[in-house]
Amino acid sequence: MKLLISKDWLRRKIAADRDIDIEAGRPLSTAGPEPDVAVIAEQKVVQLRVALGVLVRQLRQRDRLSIAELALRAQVSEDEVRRVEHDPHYTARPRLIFQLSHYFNVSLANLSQIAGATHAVNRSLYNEAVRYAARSDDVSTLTEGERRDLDAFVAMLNERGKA
Amino acid sequence: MKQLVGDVLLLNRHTGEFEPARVVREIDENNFADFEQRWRPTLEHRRADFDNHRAAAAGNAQDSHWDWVGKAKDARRAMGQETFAVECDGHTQGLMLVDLTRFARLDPHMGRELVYIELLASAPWNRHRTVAGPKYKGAGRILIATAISLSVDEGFEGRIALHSLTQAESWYRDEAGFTDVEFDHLKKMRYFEMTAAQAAAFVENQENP
Repeated sequence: MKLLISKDWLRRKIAADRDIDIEAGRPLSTAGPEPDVAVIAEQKVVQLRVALGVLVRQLRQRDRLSIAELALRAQVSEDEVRRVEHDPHYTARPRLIFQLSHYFNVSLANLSQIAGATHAVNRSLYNEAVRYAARSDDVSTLTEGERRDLDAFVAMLNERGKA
Repeated sequence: MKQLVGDVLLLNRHTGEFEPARVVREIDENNFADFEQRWRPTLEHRRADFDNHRAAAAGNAQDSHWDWVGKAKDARRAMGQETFAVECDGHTQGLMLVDLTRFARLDPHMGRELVYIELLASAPWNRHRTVAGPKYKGAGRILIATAISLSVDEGFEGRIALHSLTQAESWYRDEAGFTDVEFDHLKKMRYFEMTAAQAAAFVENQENP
């Protein structure tokens, strides 16, 4: 790694900067334990990840792919796909979400929210995701109803992604 | 293991002279000791002067709670996290923790990776609003430039982002050239992002001031 600045640049810029403090990061006023909020947030994250697992599994079934085939095509590991589909406590790496978003052509921003990878989750997206997951059955092939739900959910994700 | 990133300069406000300093990657036991023995007592003493958080913010003692040692040790184990320090006069003058697993929100590279600055702080004795007669100036600018350099090195084209403490918002927006994206209601701080073009402008050559 190489610093992209010179000592001359520093002399000029530091001398010209206003003399103010430029700290960044979470301030004291919002730090510390907030148990009620944390508990609710964790529950919501788990529910969202259930929806993510259903979504990935159904997209894979729609495209008639095994886990190994999806992993190969999306350039991710089989273990990651398996865990995303079946373990709502698993934290998917950002790269996995990015690759799945790209491969299935689903909004990255919304897929990141469903993965619990963002600090804030849109309330209506959360509701839609939980409803979508609740309607699915864990079977090896998609029913017609599940296929309609899947298509509608993906369309909703991508429509929100454009907004 | 701690690595030297580069030699830099800090302005000593007391003498008006620039002094040699260095940027290091992966802070170590010496930096931990500086924080625990020199930073934290000053910050906590200053914070004790105030009876509420708003007043603490006004005095820039908000980060007395930051567990730099714990976070830096976590960063050693975590993929995608890095720590940096500015050292001068034998002591830690600035610290930064970054996360390489976040994505840009701004066009034209929305959804692409960036370097997110989780925490950035200069030593309390360098803070204009914490002590009377602060010593060194420039650690924050150096650390922002370091984050941009890391972003370029990682292939992120200079993209960086952060949540600013209230008193620093105008610097990030008006002087550093970040885009003020939005107020993050969860963090209760404004979120700022720097695109590749803005990063290039930040580290521009001295021929184009």
